[in-house]
Amino acid sequence: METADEPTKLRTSSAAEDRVLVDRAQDGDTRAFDDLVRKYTPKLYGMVYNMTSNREDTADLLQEIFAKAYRSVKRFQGKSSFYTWIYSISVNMTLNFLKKRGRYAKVSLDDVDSSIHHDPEFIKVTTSQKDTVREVNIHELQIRLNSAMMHLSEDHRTVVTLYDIQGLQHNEISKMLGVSEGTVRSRLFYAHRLLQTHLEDLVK
Amino acid sequence: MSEFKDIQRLISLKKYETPGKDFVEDFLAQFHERQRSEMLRQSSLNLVWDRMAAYFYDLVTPKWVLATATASVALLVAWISLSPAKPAVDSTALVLVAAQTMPVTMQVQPALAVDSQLIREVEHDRKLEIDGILLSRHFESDEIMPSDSTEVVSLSGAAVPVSAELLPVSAFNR
Repeated sequence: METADEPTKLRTSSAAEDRVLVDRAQDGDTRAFDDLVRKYTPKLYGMVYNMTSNREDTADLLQEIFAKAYRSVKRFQGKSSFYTWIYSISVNMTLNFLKKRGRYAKVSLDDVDSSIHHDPEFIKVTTSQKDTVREVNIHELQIRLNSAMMHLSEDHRTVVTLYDIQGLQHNEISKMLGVSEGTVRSRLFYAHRLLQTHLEDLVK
Repeated sequence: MSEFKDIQRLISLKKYETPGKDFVEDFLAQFHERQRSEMLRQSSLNLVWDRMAAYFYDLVTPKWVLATATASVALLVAWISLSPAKPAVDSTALVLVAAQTMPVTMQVQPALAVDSQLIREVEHDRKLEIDGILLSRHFESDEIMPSDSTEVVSLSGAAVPVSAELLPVSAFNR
């Protein structure tokens, strides 16, 4: 699960590209910032959506996140990567939003990319097998997964989103959240245990 | 391998959730619109702020000036009216006072605190001395010099002859 050479190289080249774009944005080049928005919107959207389970809230929040990043980009000193920096902003603003919104919020689901049909896990879950409780369709699966996530606290939902869904590593998550790797691991353990109680029937 | 690997794989299916392929460009267009609105709002806010600052500046400044001037005049009038009146002192008395060493108690007093009583006593003593000198010259010869002593002077100020005995006429013919 730890970083392999190829992903590391990709991240390194991506960080270098980001550095160039950030320098231009700091000099007042708005098109450079637009390129950063295009690059990070899909990833940040996924993170915020999995935290909120509401597409309208996600779009509004993402506007706020990039507006704040735009106002703050001149103060960005490059001590961390732009990727880590903007993820930290996104996580903090999303958590603040969730605290204000409260626990019971309307869930509005996104579309599901058609490539899911090729995912082995999806096939396993949705295909009738003798040891599976029942078949599930995409829509029902989506509802079940979102519902299970909403049963987690914001802190536990954050680590599951970043680790299991976004594919970040423990050390990256610890930097973004400002906690130790041990804390990240323990939160993940507890979150997985809780998710299992809600999704057990889908994995048997 | 994690005991929850099945759960993790199941949850990871959420990565296929997507807002749609046109979302990013629509989002960027909305972001630009928002930036323009914010710039306009900040400009109008700055304008309102500048106008308010100018209004209150014009409103407040004259009042402060007026209040300060009024207070100063009132303080000046109060000071003038409440300070004690100085007594009328003629030039002779002033010379006598200047000639005599001022007592310590008077030296420490403020300039405006004039001890008129002490000056009057000094004046009286000097006057009596002068009268005594003049009177003694009247009743005595020129050779007899007036003395500094005040023996010839009575405290009541009345002229008292040195001697009640009449002097021989020959004394006056010298």
